[in-house]
Amino acid sequence: MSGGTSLRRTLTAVVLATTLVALLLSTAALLALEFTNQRKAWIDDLGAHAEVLAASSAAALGFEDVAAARESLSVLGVRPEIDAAAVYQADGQLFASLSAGESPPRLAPEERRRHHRVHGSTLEVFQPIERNGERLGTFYVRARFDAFERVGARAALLIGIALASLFFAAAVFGRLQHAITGPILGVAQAAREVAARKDYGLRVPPSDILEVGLLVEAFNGMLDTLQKEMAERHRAEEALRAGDRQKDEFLATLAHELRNPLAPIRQAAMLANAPRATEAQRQWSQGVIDRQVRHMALLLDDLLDISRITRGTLQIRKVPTELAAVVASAVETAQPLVDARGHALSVDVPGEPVTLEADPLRVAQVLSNLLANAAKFTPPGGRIEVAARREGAQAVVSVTDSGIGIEAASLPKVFDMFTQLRVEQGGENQGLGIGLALSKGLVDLHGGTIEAFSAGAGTGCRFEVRLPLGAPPHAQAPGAAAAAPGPGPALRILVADDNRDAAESLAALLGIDGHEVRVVYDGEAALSGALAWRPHAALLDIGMPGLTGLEVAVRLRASEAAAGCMLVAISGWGQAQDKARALAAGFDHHFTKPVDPARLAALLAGLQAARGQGPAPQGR
Amino acid sequence: MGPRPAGLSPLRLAWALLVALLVPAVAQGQSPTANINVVKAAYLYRFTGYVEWPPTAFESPASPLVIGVAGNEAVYAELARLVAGRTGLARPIRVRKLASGDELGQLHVLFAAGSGSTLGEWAQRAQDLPVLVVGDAYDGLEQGVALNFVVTGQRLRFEASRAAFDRARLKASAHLLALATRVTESR
Repeated sequence: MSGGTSLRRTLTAVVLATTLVALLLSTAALLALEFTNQRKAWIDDLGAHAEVLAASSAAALGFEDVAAARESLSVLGVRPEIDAAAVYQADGQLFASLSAGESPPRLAPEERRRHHRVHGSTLEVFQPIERNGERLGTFYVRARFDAFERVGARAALLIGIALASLFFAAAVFGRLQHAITGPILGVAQAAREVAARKDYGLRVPPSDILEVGLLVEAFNGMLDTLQKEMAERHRAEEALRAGDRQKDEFLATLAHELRNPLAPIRQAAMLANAPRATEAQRQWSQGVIDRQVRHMALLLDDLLDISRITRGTLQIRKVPTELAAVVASAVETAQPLVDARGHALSVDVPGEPVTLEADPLRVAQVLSNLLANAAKFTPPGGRIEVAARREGAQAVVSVTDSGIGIEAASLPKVFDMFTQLRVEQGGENQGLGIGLALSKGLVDLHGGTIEAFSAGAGTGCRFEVRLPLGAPPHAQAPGAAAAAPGPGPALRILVADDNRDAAESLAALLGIDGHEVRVVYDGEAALSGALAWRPHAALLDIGMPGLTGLEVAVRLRASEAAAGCMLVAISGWGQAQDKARALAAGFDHHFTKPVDPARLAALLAGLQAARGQGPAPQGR
Repeated sequence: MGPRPAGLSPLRLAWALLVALLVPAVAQGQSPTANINVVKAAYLYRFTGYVEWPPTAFESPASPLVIGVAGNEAVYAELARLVAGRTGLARPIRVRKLASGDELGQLHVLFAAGSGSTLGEWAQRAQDLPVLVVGDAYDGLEQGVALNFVVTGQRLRFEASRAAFDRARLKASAHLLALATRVTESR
């Protein structure tokens, strides 16, 4: 506000300036008119006097009576504005005059006719004197016209009136201006208050003046928008905070979940290493370790998957898939948990084949997730039903339990990330709260829907997955079942990893499968080993000191010696661009740590089969 | 003089004195005594502008106004010359030379030069007629004329008789009477 002029002051200045100019112009015009009129009246007045005096001095002139002429001129002596008056004879000679000092002029011949002359403030009138058709002479009178004296009083009066008018106009404008400035000042005031108090609920009252009304409307509209936007922002901030809180909780849960298996693993390892441990105890220990590691791997897989779904980088491979097989696979995965909690599980699949266009592994993951959830959130000894059926162009799989159910208010949120419903009893594996979010993401990728139904807490719940149908399969889906190493010649496999435990445990697994394995711990050794030993397959860690796995792959591919070698990248980085970089460097396959032994075994089995039996028969 | 006695500067006073001295001298120069007849003729003509005749004095509105001159050839000649140059008047003016005994019918102004019995006779004859009788005798008014020339201070002036005007049923203008050196009232 400081520095500028206020609207009210500007408006006042404009109006008063306009009024003043108008008043000055009209005053000047009136004065000019007054002056002209006064002068004309003065000329007429003097002319009339001259006429009368000329007539009355005609006799005196005619009968050459100077005294009489002078006497008639003396009438003019009482008028102070008259400077001089004179009577001239017909030949222009001065006959009689009335003059204090300045003598009347000699009369020029052209001045003997009737006329008047004005120079400056002096007026001269020449009036012929005639009688009875005889030109007797000329009457002359000279007077001073004091313009200021004549017009001055009137001018003072007019200027006074103008000033009074201006004052009056100012007073009237002062009262009327509120109609204009009021609403605008209202807007300004509202703007100031909005800025100061951050109260976006304020509104300016409407105005009758069209333009101001538009301004008010626009301003109020802006406030509406601002109010909405601010509310939106507030909600978004709340959501962000809530999300942040959920993430914190999730991280705490994650740490807890990841730490949980460590205690049994350590104890089992100690037991297995104890010299006095029996063979049965050792085997039990291995079972514990295997289960707990498997559980951790599942957790981490889920994490990676949800991260990919969130970033939109998860890709599914859709193939014709038999519904019953997928359901069976999921049931098989979840069976141990269901059994452990003593639930009764019933599975109902349609008699005729129903074929989905889907990624069988991902659909099985979704269904086993739902089953695991049902098992987890149902008190021991509950009932779980899996029902699959065909409905139009969709396959519908529902998982119903008799568990704790979901409150109506929580239903819409069950598929949100990190949402974990409270579990009253302490189940051994609470999970990360991402299972349903992951399931929904996977179903969405398939173009299907997933919904949760529950009549409320304690009434159990039902999850329903709907997936689009596809064409019947031409061939059996390749995949998971080919895990066991097929018959064929053993392979020479080079394993390179700077993490010795990782390298050696992988080598041990492959050795158990009957392959010939060599282990190296850096890139240089991997390169020289591969060139010298010529393995059938090389499993190379990407992040090694010296030469990285990528550099090793490039050099191997450049060499004739490693032409037939299958290169498999093993990396902690599973992003799409990491895989692309590995393939570009010459790798045939890319595995993300931790390596799934079954997948690796299937891959090697394929290589074995190809080596042993020519073109791949792919039978089982 | 002007009513400004106060504040007269020496210069103005000098001018006033000069004018006061000059004016009579100029007037004198205008009417020399030597040619007094010219002035008389002019006056006779001018008198007609200040006198009103009864309507019966004229036969019609267009009838001429007749000035008769008796006993002064020079005045007659000058008047005749003066009238000849006058045109565009309300009514024409004629000048007649009169001899003693001439009829006064259709006469409006009679200038009778001379004095004593001659003038009295003319006045007697014009009595009761609408004729302005003008004389130039020292006792003109006593002889019965309406206007009588006199010379005062080397200047030709006139005196008037209201009785003579009344007798002739003529009306004299106040301007005219104001200039007379003497006005006699009705007897």
